[in-house]
Amino acid sequence: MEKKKKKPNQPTKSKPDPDPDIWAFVIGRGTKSAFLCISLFAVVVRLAVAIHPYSGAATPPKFGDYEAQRHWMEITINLPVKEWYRNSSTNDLTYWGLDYPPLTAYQSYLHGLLLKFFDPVSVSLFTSRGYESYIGKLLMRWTVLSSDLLIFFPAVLYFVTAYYSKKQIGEKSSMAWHIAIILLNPCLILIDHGHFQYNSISLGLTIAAVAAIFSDRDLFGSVLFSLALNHKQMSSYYAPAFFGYLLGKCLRRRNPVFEISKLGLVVLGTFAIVWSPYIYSADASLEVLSRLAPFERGIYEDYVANFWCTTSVLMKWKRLFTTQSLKLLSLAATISTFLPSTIQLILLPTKQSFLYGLLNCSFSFYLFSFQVHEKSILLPLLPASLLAVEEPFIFRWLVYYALLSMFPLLRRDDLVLPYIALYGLFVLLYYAPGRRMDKRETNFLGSTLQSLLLASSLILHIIYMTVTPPEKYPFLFEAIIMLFCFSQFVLISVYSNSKQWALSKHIQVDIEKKSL
Amino acid sequence: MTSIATSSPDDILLSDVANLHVSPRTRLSSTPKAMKKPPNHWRISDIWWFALVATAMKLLLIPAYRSTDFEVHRHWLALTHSLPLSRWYSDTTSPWTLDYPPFFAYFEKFLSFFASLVDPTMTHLHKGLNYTSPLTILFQRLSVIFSDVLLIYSTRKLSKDFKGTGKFLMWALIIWSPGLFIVDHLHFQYNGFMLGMLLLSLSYLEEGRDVMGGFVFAVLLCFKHLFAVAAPVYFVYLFRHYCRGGFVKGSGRLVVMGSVVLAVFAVAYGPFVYYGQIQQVFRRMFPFGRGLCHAYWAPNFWPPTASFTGGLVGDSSPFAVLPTITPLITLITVLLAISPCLIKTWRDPQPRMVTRWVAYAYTCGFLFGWHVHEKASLHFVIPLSIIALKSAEDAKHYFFLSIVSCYSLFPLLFEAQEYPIKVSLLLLHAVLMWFGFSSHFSKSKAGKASSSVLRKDDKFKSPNADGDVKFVLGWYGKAYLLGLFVVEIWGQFLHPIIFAAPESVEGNTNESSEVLGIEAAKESSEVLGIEAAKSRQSRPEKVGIKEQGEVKIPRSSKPDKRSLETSLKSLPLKPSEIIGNNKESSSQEVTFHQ
Repeated sequence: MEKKKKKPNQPTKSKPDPDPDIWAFVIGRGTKSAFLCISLFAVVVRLAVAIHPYSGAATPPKFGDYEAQRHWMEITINLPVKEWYRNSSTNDLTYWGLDYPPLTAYQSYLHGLLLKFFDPVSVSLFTSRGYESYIGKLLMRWTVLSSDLLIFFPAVLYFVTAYYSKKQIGEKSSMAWHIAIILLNPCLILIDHGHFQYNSISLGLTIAAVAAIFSDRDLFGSVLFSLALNHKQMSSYYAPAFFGYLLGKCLRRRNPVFEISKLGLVVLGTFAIVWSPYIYSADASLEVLSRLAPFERGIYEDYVANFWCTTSVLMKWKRLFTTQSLKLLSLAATISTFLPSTIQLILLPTKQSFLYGLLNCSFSFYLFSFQVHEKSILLPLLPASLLAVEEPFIFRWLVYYALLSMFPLLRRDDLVLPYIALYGLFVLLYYAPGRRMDKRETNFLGSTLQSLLLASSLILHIIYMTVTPPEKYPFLFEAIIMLFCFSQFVLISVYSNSKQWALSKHIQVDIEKKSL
Repeated sequence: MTSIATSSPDDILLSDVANLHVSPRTRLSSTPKAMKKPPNHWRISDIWWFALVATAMKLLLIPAYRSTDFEVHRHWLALTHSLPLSRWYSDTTSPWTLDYPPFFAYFEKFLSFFASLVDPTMTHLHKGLNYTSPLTILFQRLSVIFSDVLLIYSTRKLSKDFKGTGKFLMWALIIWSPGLFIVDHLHFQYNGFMLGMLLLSLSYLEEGRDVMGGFVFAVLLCFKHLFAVAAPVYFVYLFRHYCRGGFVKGSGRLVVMGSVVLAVFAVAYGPFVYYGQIQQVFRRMFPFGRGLCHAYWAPNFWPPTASFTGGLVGDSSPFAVLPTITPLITLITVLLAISPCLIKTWRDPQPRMVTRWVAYAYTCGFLFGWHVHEKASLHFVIPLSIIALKSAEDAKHYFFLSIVSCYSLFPLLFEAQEYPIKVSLLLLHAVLMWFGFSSHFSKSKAGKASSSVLRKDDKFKSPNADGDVKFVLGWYGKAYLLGLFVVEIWGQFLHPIIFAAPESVEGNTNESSEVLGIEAAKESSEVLGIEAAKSRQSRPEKVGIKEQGEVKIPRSSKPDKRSLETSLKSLPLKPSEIIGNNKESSSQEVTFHQ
């Protein structure tokens, strides 16, 4: 059966890439063609996921995120800009009021125009609430896909060219694999094209910012990151890393103050442009800001695998503390956890540690900040996917548990089938034939423990699907899933923090060697 | 380097994942492999990787649009489950009577055992009519996905002699064939495993195991009789290749082969002969009343001819000027068309050529046959993918043929939701082929050049050899593909926008569609002319056909008719299906005749 393995056949030739791997013929013609091929496949996958139901399909009165996005389109195209964030008789903020920064509102406006052109009923004021139709769903799905294609895909291409520009040819063989892994991240596809959101815009802008920083265009990078912040405030999870890296880099320049003020001006300028309709008065801006920070919604929602929610099994935070003190508590916890990684970046701003810094900071926000959704795991996942070539094992691990942590949500949305298919696809891509196995891909956790965890989480999936929980604890299984994922996330973040610091040691050793 | 322990979690994860997810295929095939392989090199190698990637895609497509063929096959499950064999071919509970040969009915019977366990209503003859519970959909879709294992097995068997990239490319061509995705996993049919059977038979023939090859082909014929087009080639080939070596030995072998084939047919049809149903079986299998051209016309010889003479498709005589085309005439035409290949087979029956001949026969059958489905183009495109990698010239022809064949399947999926899916599937296929072929053939060229450094004079002697190796599209080809692209853009987007009456929302649909029909015919014949002039290398009539003839615009009973129709103005609007096939009564339809 296996005598025709290509392994023993090939290495006799002395070619740069002896593995006739699956990527050989896509990569043979350069980055762009490889990217074209893989992104076409990624588009097909997204289209196929888009067939499945979205969140809150046919569940009045509140529906789900799909209705929220549609409602924002309805609001933005029918009301003047100043009214968007203001509660009024025409804009009932309790019904999916706009709670993302202005760039999201502009994006909703553009998409709303599109919908209005093709299907005016779907965005008419008031009457369109809870509007659902075949064509409406398609159009909405296509807006997600098009923003994916216009922002996320080019950003990934930009990142990959920047990331691999300084690498040797030998290292480039993993490029196609890397592209595929980033583009076919199952969590992102499930949330954006299944559940229905536009995360790919802010995440794509973040990737583009990282790519710009990788190609040493710091100003452009900060513009892009400011835009990402203005699309979803969750992008601030990355802010400490960007801040630390850019600050550290500026401090090493000849004229740090000038460099810093340049960056600061660019960021402020971008913000000013995006917020231009609201900065005419302090009240208007505050009004918008108060919409962005919904403290009244409590420290956590549903069952999210972060510190507050997990420990609430033992300690009822919501009962013990007031919202005000919880705010401070979570702020302190978040700052103290991302501080080490930011300090490392300020001390030694290398591109390598910047990626780790992004991962660590976003993890500390996910685990400790106020009001975290289960979907926020997408944020730590992004830098992990950018690091996939260096830390393939970590990435695979994280993807698995990130998916698991969203399983209750996706199950509610009736997306179990794409959940299975996309995770299968991810594993297949991860183990694509001919990919060079990274030597660093070793597990530092006992293999038995790991397989035990996997086996039990598989059983958990099945139990969650089939067994009804005991009446006394209706959310028993959610809590178990949450505990599971939280423990893994903590492990991963501890590992990557230590990795980031270890990295700086290596670099210092290198520098010392060079100076000798 | 690394110890066994370090790599084992990967194995465990993967096998677990496979067990959780996709299919028992993994369990059967990959897990034992993982044990055999050296540590830290574990990967889903081999064809199963391709197959599983395809499976993941197929799983994602489960809730997509499905044609009435879905109900057809569901009804057959119910039919074979709840009726005795003697009544299978005479039952008329549903308009979708059983019209496949007996093995397919047995296959449905086999599936119905599981189906009745999954959801008993599915296999209920009367309650099950038009039954589409989620479980039913899941079950039927999965049955197609599982039956594709045969296709994968035979592809693997056929690809034994290929190496490296070529092997990958061939798997990608067959297993990721967009045509199969469209027909089997969206439209809903079981072509995958029957094509797998064809490939299996061909692989036996190529290996020289003629009896097995003949046996499998006979079985295939009892699954779907449309494959019989290649029977003359099989007959001549087996007669000349297998039954040779003197009169005694030859006739002995003829008897062996004959009895094998007869035994297969006896198993298939015997029970029906026993119950006196055989005539009814044949009447169902060969419904000559169904018309010369099927469904949305297959891009073959007859529809353009019919349209030039201003005829229609249906029971009445479609040809006003030309003599009526009877099944006999089409049979003779097909035989005539195949005859050059038969003569070649007779003279020199070579195992390595047999795939080519069979594919040729299917092409002829497709072009001149009676009542040809557009899906029949898969019958030659899939076997041709094996040949495609043999030379750059073949690859070039395959490149066009597979694109055009897949394009001709587009009308099967006419709803807006599947429009981007089918387009991007085809694009992906074309891009993969393009990169794959060009890198494959440039590589083999480089390999040749380096290996034959000594024989430098080769280059001077045969300049053609160099040209053979490269995979280049001439401007002919480019113009042809561009033409396809233009027709698609025109038909989908520009035409509806330009010719749709602007304010017609409710009442004017008829008119605008009429305009559409007429204009489409004009435009297509124009394009036809241009294209025919431009490229003589492939069948030009493929280009324009889609827009001709009668156009049916499905007005499904969606809640928001108004919004739907307004959006139809600018969204993919597909003239969908044609009477012959469509007995669907639930959706209102507007039919136009030219």
